[in-house]
Amino acid sequence: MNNIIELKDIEMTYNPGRHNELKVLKGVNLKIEKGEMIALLGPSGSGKSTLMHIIGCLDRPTRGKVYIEGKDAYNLSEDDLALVRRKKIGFVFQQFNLINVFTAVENIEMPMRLAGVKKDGARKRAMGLLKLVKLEERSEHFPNQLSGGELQRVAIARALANEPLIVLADEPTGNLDTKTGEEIINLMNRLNDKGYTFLIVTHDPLIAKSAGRIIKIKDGKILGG
Amino acid sequence: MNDLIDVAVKNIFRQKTRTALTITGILIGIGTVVALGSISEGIYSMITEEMQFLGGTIMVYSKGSSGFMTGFEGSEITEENVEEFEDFSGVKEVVPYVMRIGEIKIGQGPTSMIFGIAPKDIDFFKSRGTELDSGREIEEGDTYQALIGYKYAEENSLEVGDSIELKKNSFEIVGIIEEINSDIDNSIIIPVDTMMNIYNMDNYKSLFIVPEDVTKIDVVAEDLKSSFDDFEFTTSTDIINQMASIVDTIRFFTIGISSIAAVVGGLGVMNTMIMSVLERRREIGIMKAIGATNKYILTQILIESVMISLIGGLIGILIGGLGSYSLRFVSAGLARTEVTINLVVGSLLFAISLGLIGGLYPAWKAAKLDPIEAIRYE
Repeated sequence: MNNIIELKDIEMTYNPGRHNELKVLKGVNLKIEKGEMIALLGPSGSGKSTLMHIIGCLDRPTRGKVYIEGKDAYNLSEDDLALVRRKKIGFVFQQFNLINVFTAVENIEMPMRLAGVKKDGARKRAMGLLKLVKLEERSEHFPNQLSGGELQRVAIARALANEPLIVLADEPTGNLDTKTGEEIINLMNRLNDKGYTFLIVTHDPLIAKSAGRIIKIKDGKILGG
Repeated sequence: MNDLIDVAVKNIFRQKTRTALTITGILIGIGTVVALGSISEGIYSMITEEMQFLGGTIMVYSKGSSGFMTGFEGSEITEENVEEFEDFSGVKEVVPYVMRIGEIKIGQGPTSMIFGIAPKDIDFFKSRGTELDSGREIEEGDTYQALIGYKYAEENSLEVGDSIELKKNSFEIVGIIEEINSDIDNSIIIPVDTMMNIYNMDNYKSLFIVPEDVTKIDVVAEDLKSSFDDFEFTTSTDIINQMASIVDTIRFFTIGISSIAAVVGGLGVMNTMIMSVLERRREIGIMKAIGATNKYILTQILIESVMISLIGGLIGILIGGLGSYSLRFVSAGLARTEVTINLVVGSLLFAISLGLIGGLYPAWKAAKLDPIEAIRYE
């Protein structure tokens, strides 16, 4: 078995016991293998973002277990969860979410610096990652000097900084025009070929087409799951 | 840690005007603390220097006179009293003196004092660190010879060999005492016999008693008190304690009240940091998502607020120091201000703690931010 992540009976209820109680996830089971490219599809409100946050150690589920490399993640304290995010998870967001006071290369260095990588080592690897996303000439640019597609490429490079177990991307092409979106999809495919694992929350049919596996979620349950 | 400081510098200069204003708030407070604090420190060091001179001695006055160096006219310590004190157990040395205040006015300086001391007792003063600037001591057999204080000599352009007149008697200046920042600087010292003669004094004004064992000074003073009802005995520590409580009051009003200004500056830091955290909600959320711990975020915000207060503190100390110096200058040396190490270190620690306390709440808020909500926040 090559399962890097396993979800068991995940339930997520907001405001439990109150009049505005909201069951978002109702028993989700999921196994993710190394090297997969998964598209997570579903209508808005279906719970796909919540599921992604739970996999990404950002949101503690109401019930159920998340095993990351066989270890029960939510058994950990807040700060230890932050360490798991730092080392095992790479996030890519629809809004890019780079830090505006840092240059492109500094944004990519950040997760490594948090992990205690020395400045020289972090710079070297960050430059390598910029080359991988074909943006090395933009290394000293600040986010407000970059286009949407460039921003998302820097964000992807940042997600790869600490060689994560999985990259979680939330609508990565949602804020891009079709052509730029395609470039990003191609980039992710290329990285997937190199062995990186992707879970992509999306509406984009192009992503769904290129994904190795499609998971559909509706009303808090995985269809056919 | 280096990174945290790097990032902090970037962050605090994002909103230059706001940061500059916040720093100004701190620097006004700390500057006031330093400038006003230097006044009480100056008074304190003036007193301790003066008291150093009296260190290890018991001062004796007759009851009814109003105390040390007041120039009270009634001299009531007789030669017999002096002998009684000399024979008292635990007493090593008795140094009687007479004094007058403000008898002569040459020039415009502060009122001078005239002391009459036996030439053999001059050593008593020398052993308390008083050295001559020029000339010689008064010696056994001198009559119309005088020692004068440094300031007195300077203000009246007097040198060794010149003469001064007291009660129509001419005195030859044989020596000038070095500057010791005490009343001695404005004094004239002449042989006690001559002085008692020309001022028609029968008795001594006051005297110093040196105990055999300085560490038992309080015991000797107590013994003296219970044996002599007509005299008051005050040790130098008594006076220092009295003075210290006065200085403490002055400190309370100078440092204490100016601290209020600094605390207001600290509230400014808190306000700025709360604003800054609100503006950076999203960014803090991102940092948490990519693996920053709550502790990291807390530290980050605290470093920023301490940095602001530290910069304010450092500039404040500089400006307060300049203020203190100009105060001395403007008052022509009357206000003896002193920016002591204690004052500087204390103000700096105060500034740092303002940053820490002011930063604590916003830092805690930032650390507790839910990354999902913060990232969604537009």
